[in-house]
Amino acid sequence: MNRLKHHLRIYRAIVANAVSYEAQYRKDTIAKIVLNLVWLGMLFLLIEIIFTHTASFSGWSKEAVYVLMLFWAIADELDIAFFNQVSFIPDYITDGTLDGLLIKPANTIFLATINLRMKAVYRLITELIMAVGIFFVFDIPVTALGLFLGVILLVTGVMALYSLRLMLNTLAFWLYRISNINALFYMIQSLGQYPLDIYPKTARIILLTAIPVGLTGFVPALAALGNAPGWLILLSFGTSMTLFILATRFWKFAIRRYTSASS
Amino acid sequence: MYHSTFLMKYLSVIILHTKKILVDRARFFIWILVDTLGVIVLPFVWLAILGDRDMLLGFTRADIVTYFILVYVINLVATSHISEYVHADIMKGDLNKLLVRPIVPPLYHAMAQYGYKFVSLFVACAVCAIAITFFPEYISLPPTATHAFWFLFFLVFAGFHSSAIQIIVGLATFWLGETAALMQLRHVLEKIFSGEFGPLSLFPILIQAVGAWLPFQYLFFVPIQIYLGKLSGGEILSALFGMLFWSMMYLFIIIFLWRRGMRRYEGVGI
Repeated sequence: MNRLKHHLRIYRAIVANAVSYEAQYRKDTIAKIVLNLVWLGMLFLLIEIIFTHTASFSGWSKEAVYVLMLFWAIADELDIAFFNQVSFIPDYITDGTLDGLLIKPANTIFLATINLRMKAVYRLITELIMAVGIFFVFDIPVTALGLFLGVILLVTGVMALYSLRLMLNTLAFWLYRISNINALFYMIQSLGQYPLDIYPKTARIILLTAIPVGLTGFVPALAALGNAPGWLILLSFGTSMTLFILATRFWKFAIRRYTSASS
Repeated sequence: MYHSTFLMKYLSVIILHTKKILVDRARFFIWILVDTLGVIVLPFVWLAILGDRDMLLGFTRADIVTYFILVYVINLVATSHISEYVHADIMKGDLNKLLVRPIVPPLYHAMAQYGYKFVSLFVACAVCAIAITFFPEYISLPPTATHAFWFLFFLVFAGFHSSAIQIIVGLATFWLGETAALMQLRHVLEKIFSGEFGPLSLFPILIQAVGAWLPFQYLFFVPIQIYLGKLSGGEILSALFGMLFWSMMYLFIIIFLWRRGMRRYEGVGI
């Protein structure tokens, strides 16, 4: 309990720093929010292009694809808002910053991976507003239970994303100069922005288990729309937990074998 | 003699960066995976749109799959990502190191990336060979040798177009400082109007009309349309003039931005 309080105090300091840092770059923040809206506009345009040629996209209606895209975008933003620090692990290893984190009296995974990016929080707010708007404009029938389940599954999806990104970046302990591993992560993540039904069966299984990007948009959207079978929900929880355990164990394995970068 | 020295300078840059790529093999392999994953989903999207139909506005199943294999090949061998390097050089003042050398800094970065492109060419050839061998029913070949020739010709210029746009965005750093917004704008415009997401002829009329006036179509859409034999001789000639026009525009803009930018550059970073 004391340990938890200790880390919560550290996180409070992280949040305070993030807010004050962001306050210095208000114009940049506004520009990034506008750019995010442009990017979302592009995603929605691509959906409109798809549905000019077909009324059903592998069994998904336009409204359902919008819901999936929004869940995916929100999961992406949550990951960036709270866990973007993971992408700096390769740099921490090569420039020796990790040494400083290891000697601090706090959990190393916490210090190396947990942060807060206020720009992402502002973008998240705009995306949530947009999501509410989409639900009203398309009059999408959702139940309170479905929406609640969708949100819970979204959170587990973010946990799966975090675990996957942590495992990929932990490879930097052995493979040097692989900071572009995060570019690979974003590409992998982009596989989840469309319904998994468009892929062959083998790919669908992989995208729900080993590379679980389907847990960020596909499964939460199905749950929100009331179409998620029970086994899929259980699979989502199980996969996220398993990946999280594997990721933290892999990290600890790497740390035990880490020798400092400095002389 | 001067011309051979000029060529040797930049050839040595390409060779140096090719060696660098081969030293950081994990990094290179990851970039190949990034380029692969960037397009691997798109054939599935368009095949899902096609559904049970044999054709979608003139595109067969084989045309669609071939289209995205060619998008992948063009991504590997022609598209450029040098705006970040040009931007970083100006922001940090690292441009100083290049200015004292007998090279043109933007050209240095353009040539340096061809080290990666050279090695990627082998990957592209391997992917094409696998596709033709194991999935021949999904591959469309060019209707004539002339179409193949013009495809390769436009492919070379696609590389020039990509590098030129990236250099222009990078040089904007002299005035804007932070160019993340401009890079994002370029990314969105290229995604929509280059044909990377899908053939422009399958997009809404308004987007086609706007895209016809922009240079981005010469990156993917026009070369691939030539390969698939969907452009007549007259249309290929028209595309050639359009491409040459934009090439000249790029050169003028880059020279203008570079000269004006050098007047502002102080060598201590921004």
